[in-house]
Amino acid sequence: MRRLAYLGALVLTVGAGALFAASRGSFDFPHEKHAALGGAGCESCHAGIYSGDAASNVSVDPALCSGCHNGQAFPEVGYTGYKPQESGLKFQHATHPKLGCQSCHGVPGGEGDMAVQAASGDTCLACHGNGATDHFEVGINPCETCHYDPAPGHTPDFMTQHATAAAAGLPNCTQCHRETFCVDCHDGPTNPGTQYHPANFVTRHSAESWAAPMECSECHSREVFCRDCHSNQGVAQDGRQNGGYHDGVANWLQQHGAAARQGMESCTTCHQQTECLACHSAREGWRVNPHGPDFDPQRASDRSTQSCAICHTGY
Amino acid sequence: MTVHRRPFFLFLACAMVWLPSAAQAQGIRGDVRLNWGWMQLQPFAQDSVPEGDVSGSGLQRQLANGTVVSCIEGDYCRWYENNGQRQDIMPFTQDLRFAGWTGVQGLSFHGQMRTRLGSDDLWPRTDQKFDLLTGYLSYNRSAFQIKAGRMYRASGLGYYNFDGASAVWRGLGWLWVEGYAGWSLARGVNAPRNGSLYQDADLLATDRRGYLFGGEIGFRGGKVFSGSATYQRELRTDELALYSERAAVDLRALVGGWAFDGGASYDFAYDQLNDARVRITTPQVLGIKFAAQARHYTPFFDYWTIWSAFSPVGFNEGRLSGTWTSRSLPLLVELGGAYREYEDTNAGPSNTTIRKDGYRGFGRIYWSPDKWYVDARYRAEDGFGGSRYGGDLVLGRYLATGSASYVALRGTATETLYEFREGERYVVGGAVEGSYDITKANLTLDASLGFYQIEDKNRPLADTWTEGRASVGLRWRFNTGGTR
Repeated sequence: MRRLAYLGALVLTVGAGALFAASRGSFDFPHEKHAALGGAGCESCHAGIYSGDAASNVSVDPALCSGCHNGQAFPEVGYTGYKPQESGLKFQHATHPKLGCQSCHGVPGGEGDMAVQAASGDTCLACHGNGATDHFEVGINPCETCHYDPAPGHTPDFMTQHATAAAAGLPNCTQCHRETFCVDCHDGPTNPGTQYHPANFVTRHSAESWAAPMECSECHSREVFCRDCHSNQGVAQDGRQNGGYHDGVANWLQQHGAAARQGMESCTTCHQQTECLACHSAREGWRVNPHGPDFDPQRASDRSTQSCAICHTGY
Repeated sequence: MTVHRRPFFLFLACAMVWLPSAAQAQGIRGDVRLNWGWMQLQPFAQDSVPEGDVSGSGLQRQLANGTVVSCIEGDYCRWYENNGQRQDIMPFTQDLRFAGWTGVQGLSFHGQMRTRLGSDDLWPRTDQKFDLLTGYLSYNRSAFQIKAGRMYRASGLGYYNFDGASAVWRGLGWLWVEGYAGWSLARGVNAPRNGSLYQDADLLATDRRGYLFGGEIGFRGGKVFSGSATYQRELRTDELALYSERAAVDLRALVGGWAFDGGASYDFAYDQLNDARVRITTPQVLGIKFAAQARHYTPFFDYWTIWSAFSPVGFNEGRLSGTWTSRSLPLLVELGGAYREYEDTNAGPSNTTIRKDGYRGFGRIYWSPDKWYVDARYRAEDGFGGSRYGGDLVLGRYLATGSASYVALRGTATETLYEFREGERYVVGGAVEGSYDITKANLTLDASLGFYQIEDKNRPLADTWTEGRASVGLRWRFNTGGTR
């Protein structure tokens, strides 16, 4: 745990530094305070919009500002140029010349060319795709049609690494994904069109189940799903007398304790509780104590005396 | 057939109460999915000889050919073997999902049900012929949402189904508070844990359903920060014991393209962090993006089982991955790896040979010039319990630019190393797979057919055989004009 704590602290420190660095340098120009400039047209400042010159469409030349903000007519400003951030959208102003700036950037109810705001996704959807509803239909409009990077943090392995992100901000997810999008995997049928596991996963799932890159039991009941198949396949043990699965490991009986504590989930995909209790019950058998050094019996019994009573009398 | 009366009647009552308004519904949207699969397996078979025919003494003995058998004195010596017989499995599922909007603003009904037909006993859950996954009414306004029926919750604790009700208040916009309660369902089963599925699977299965109570508080600071904290407990209906008591905290920040995630879930009875993660994803610069994650994982087990009392230990894992995306080619390259170490088990002799670490490596190249695409993936999973090395190479072609219809050829090669007695398995094979939009946006056909050569070594009566696999899926989406 200590090593994890150090690693977590390192990641936190690096992350905090990165967040601080990334948060510097943003610049929001108060268009509404410069309403008088609106008559000259947007392109008088955003020169590159119609030509497609990305370097000058948003990044206004600081010389334009200093024409007025020279310390005499108006206070000087520290603007040195704006570096456009990657939006993740495959949008180019040059390909939308006929719309007019107000069509996308106009503030509802605002007056004048300077009543502008950032364009929203809904504006795009008014023309693109089959309407806002269909935008959320997976497969009709693939994200990549409009988005370079559909969402920050959505790395290719996000499908298996999204638990925290989804738990922390489900409302964020639902801005793009419908609820059924989750169900496609979380309670999905074996559909070749919505493959979560790689092809023929049955023949190669063993290593993943031991390594637990994600929780198998999130979707598959160990007792019902895993044990059912393992039992029917002859992999699981139906009873002590049918053993032999572990006999490729010398002195398995002596080693199984460490293996069980490291891979308890895998054990339960074959073994019933009664099989372990043949030796590990305080009521009968070998009465081998299975509890580890950190086990707190009071804490456990406060919440479930029933499970204590499986092995111990007096509950 | 597993139809649980209480949720079924609850769902039916809800449907009847709202049938008049449903008849005047603004619309119903949903889909029907038919999925048929065919696969072949070569299961182990149990064999035995009279105990007196095997020389030696004790529980574990060897036959003349070296096969290890388990003997009971005066009874039989038994073992598993591969007798070369294949079995065909053909599961067939039908799913109906729908969401309907009534004439009342904000009121909608939702459902998902599944039937399983044509299955074989070799495939799990084949005796669960009917499955009601969700069925609930929702009243959704800008400040709150109330749901009642069979539903699920996805939170930092994972994915929980239950029959009951939930209420969310989000009047402040940046804050939401949710409470929920009902009868719990076993995870991944959509059935009470005292039902026949569990009774058949475990001799010590619990005899009582559970009540599920929980609450969540969450916040969102603009587009930058969001987080939630969840507490949940599951109680036997006779209130004699808990089935679980857990909490989770999850935080996320997005600033300037950086994504920061951190979360943990906690088990109160055994004082354990079950899954704790810290993850950072960098912005995409020159098409390159990195993700780093530290994770601690200890499995959680319901309190009706004895497993947590056996003191399972977890592992600590560091994971790093990077991707490069070229928009002009277009090309995606992904590389990553992870290393984990298990905590001290305090069990067994000091010279135990059980491995205490593991690593993972993975890579992917996806290249999609115009309608063609090539997807090559490799994954190495090496560690305690089992190891796997192998990957897939897919060559595909979309039928039209921007279309979801495609046809592809897949090649795969995998080596699996099992611990214990099972030995090694080598799988080499190929498949043709595809998807076709029969009607635009409404009817889609997915299909695949593949054959895999499976070679086993160091397994009981290991041999080489060819496994066939196929699947056909038909999806029909309907929408009578409903709105979100």
